[in-house]
Amino acid sequence: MLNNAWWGEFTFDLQQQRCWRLGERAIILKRLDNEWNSWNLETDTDNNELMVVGNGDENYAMGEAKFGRYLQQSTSQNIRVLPLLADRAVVARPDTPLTLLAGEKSRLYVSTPIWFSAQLLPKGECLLDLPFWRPSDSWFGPSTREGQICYAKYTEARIELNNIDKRPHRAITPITVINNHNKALIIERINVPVTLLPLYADEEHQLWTTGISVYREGDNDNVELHLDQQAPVEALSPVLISGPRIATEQSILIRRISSLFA
Amino acid sequence: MKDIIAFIELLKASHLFAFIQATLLFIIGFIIARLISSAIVKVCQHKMTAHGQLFLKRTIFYGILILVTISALDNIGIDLSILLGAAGIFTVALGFASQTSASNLISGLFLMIERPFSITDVIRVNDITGEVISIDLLSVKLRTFDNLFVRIPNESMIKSAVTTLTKYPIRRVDLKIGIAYKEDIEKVRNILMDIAAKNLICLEEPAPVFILTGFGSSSIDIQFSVWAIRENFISLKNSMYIEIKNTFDLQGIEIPFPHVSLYAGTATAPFPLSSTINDSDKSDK
Repeated sequence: MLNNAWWGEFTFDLQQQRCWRLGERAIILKRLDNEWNSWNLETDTDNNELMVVGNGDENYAMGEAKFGRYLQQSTSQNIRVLPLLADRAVVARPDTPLTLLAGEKSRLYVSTPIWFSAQLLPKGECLLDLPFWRPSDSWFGPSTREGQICYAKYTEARIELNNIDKRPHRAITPITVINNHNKALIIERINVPVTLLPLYADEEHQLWTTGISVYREGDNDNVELHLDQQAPVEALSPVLISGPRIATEQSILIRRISSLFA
Repeated sequence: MKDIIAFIELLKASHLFAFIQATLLFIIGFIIARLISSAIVKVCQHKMTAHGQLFLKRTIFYGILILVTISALDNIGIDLSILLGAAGIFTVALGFASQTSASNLISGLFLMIERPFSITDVIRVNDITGEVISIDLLSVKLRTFDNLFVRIPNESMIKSAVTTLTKYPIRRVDLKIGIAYKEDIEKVRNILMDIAAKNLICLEEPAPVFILTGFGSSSIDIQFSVWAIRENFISLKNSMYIEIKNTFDLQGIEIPFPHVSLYAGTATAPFPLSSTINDSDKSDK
């Protein structure tokens, strides 16, 4: 567990409760003899507050929170809390459409929302897996018949890393696009396959995913998607926090260009 | 003892023995066909859809049953070539008699090959909407949402338009809205777009569509089309209508509805209207 990080292993005594709070947004967990209770206090819009892990004694509008009960014969003492990437691909869009000229290369930074996951130790049963702010549903594909269901909203795509707000509930994915095609590539929206990416934290507890490189070659409609094996160079002293939701052996994937860019 | 042997000999010589043998063969064959088809489907049920499983099961079952029937007929001593010859004439007669069934049968085969829908799909045929629970040789069986069992003959499935509601993963919800003539259309459009953007189950792409359908008798008619994952179709429709009503109330945008005015003409005075409580009602209270 990193110092002052909101994730890691937490020990709960009986009747003890902990609260992960981002401003008004709070997730509270409480251990009882043979059940875990959770309160999920949601807000409509996201904020830039810092994550505070406390005892949850503050005055919350508990009546408005979504209440959950998870039964166990006798509750275990330890819980592992992890940040996870979204459970579907996420669509991000730059402020204005970008045109990557023929034969050029560019590095984009995409910020995507994080899910809060709590697992019971030692078996690792999932107790909670919920987003801090649920993004809205979206569809990404060449037509309404072909494509995939993904998430949009609460994302950013920037050329300059400094233009991205560093927040505890977002992870940054660097995407390198190499356009070896003889035509320019117009990027209005990018589909980031976050379910395939592992999550790292840097020394400032900012979350990063491994980078993605997209190679567009020749006269082909397909692109090569290279998943990097290591944390991006921008993350200083990175530590692996969680693996990808969908494990894949391959590090090079072939995708249709229409399934990544629009 | 001799009598019994003589009886068995007699039985063997008679047609009855062959007939019993054939019947037994048919019954055993029927059971074996059922067992084999179920076993094969069980082995590969994880790799196939419900539709594929049913198709495979039927093919294996009827295949074995036909072989067993031929063998049973052969056992009785019926020559199949003669039977097939006779069948030619017989078919004509039977064809006329069982026109509908035959038509359903052929339609059923086409339905199975064409596969416009499969089991567990939700379809709409002639105003009947329901989940497909089986596709058989003569008919398709549906379970409607009010939990009724509907049998639709295959012939009518082939002849009429069938809508499969669960073919594609996303669906469009068309919301019909009317606003008063005094309202600012551009402002209403922005409000609607804003409501759609805030609704989490409303898809961001394909983007919502705002269509001004015309000037109605008492309102400006608008069609606002938003997209959702098909499982969220009803939830989105409900939540959008509720949010639109609430926002319109907050923003003071009027949703007009037809009013009926009673007009008695200028020549006469208006009807005097007043409400009174009956004495009997009073005494009741």
